[in-house]
Amino acid sequence: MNAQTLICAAALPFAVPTSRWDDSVAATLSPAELLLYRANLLGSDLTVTNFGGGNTSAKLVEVDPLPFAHVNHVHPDAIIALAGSSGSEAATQAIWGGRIGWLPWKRPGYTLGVMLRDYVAANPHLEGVMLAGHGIICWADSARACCEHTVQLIADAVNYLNAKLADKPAFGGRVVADNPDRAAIAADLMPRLRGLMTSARNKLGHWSDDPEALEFTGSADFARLAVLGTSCPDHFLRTKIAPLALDPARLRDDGYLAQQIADYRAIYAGYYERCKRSNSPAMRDANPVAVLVPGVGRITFATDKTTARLAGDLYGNAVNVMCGAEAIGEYIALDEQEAFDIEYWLLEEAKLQRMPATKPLVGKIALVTGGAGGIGAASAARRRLRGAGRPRWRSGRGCARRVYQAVRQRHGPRRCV
Amino acid sequence: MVRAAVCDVTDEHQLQAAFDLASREFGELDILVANAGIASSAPIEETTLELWNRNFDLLVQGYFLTARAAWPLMTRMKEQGGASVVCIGLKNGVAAATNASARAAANHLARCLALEGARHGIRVNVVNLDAVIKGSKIWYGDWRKERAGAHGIDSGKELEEHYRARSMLKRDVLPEDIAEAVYFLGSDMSAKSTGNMINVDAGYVQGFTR
Repeated sequence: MNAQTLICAAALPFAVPTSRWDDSVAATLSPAELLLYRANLLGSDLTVTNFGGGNTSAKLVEVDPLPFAHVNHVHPDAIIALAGSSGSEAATQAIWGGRIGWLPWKRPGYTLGVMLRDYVAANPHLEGVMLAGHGIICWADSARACCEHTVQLIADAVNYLNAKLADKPAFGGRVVADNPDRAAIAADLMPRLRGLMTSARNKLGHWSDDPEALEFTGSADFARLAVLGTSCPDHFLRTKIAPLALDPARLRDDGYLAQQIADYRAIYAGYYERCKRSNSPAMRDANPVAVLVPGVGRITFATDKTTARLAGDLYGNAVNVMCGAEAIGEYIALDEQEAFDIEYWLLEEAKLQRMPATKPLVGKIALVTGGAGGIGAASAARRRLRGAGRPRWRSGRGCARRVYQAVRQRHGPRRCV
Repeated sequence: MVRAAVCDVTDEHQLQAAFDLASREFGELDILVANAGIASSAPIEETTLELWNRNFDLLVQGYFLTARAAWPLMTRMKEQGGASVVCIGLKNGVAAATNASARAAANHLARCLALEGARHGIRVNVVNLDAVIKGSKIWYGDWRKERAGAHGIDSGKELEEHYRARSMLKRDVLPEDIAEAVYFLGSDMSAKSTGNMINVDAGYVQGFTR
């Protein structure tokens, strides 16, 4: 690994959320509509909810373990960072001075609900509870107060973490500089990897060199933290627990890449064998989802482009979590068996089994030259209905862009099945 | 998901940049549709060397360069069911001399690439069409007037009627019809087919494959 450059840029800060509540809108809504309004406000705010993968919940309580009218449960990065650090309990106390309680990790389910009920009954002054390794749950007497309370708690966490992160680099500082040729390296590497990822269905890739990805992969702590894996179920259900980290000096060595993929699959199979239970679903595809390369960024693979991009975004969330958690202590990964029990939860499997049948060209990548003309555009549209992702080109100027816009309008900007 | 790029298919550097974009955006390539082309029509004594070269540049060199750029990506997919190249041809290369000669060379290139690609799991097939007027850029301007002039009719509705009447099945051939054949040859439905031509031309005797 190339370690001649040490870059001491300050860590990228967390974004601070602000309340988007609008009384003029809220005044027109019924209680049920207010709940929807509140859930949508939080769910559409990227500083509160993971894009495309979050399971923020807002509840109007009738029968629930908690005796409050309005309850929110969120997992924004800053909150999971607090929840997933060795310094979690101390930081919770430091930020909120006892207004927010703290419970150790417990897999989401009925038992956690009962624990919460008893804990809150014993501590009636609480305004919320930090759930270690998981997220936060909080409540208030009105929809507006609950929404604003939630946003304020996240802002409190963000401000606390940003103060801890200020003026020093994240992850022990940079040891690998951003490679100026990273776009070309990604273009060369992705087909090599895709060709090696044999599975039931072809995969599509998504490369990102966003600042967070480069900050993490190029850092001193990268190798230590990457193997620990992502800790939030929201994240690892999309990314697998561990990424595959590659040596940037050996990216053109097909033998090295083949060995890395083979090793990853063997490690994943080992994890499955160690953790499986008598009624566990069969092992799923063992290929890595996230491939990380110092100086180049993050490449994620999935059976369609949208899922690949979402997996990348969620790995970005996981990186934010590690960044914040390390700022206040040590990042704590989820216990392997706990992670397995979530990944191979029977209800999760049932959800996967209910996914619609895939269309014939899912996972295929097609390139159509002359794509702006009648035949090229029709071929592109025909494939799109059956699920292929595809770039297409032609020799004229402007036409390709026009047809591209038309296809997007007809089929939606990000629908790739 | 669709990405578009502007690229001159006769320029190997622009093509490489376009294929690099495909690799970076999606990870690789399973299906190539070589479709970018032109048409021209002129009696031989009025055919300039420039027009001759233009046809061969786009249809022969263009298809060659496009396939060559796709090849290293496609050979990587052998273990995963292989890859498919679909070349768009015209009238089986039997029509106006200059354009058809280039088309014939392109069709032959496809068959030879089918030979060479088989051991890498790459299938190469041709869709031969005729008289696809709707949406086609080649029918605008001079070509439409040239063809109308060659048949002694006007370049509007009459030309479309002329081609429909000339076809054996008496039907219009639409871009969507070509897309069905391209889809078939690109997908695993045709996994055991290579070196073939499918005519989508409403029946055109001169275009019968042989």
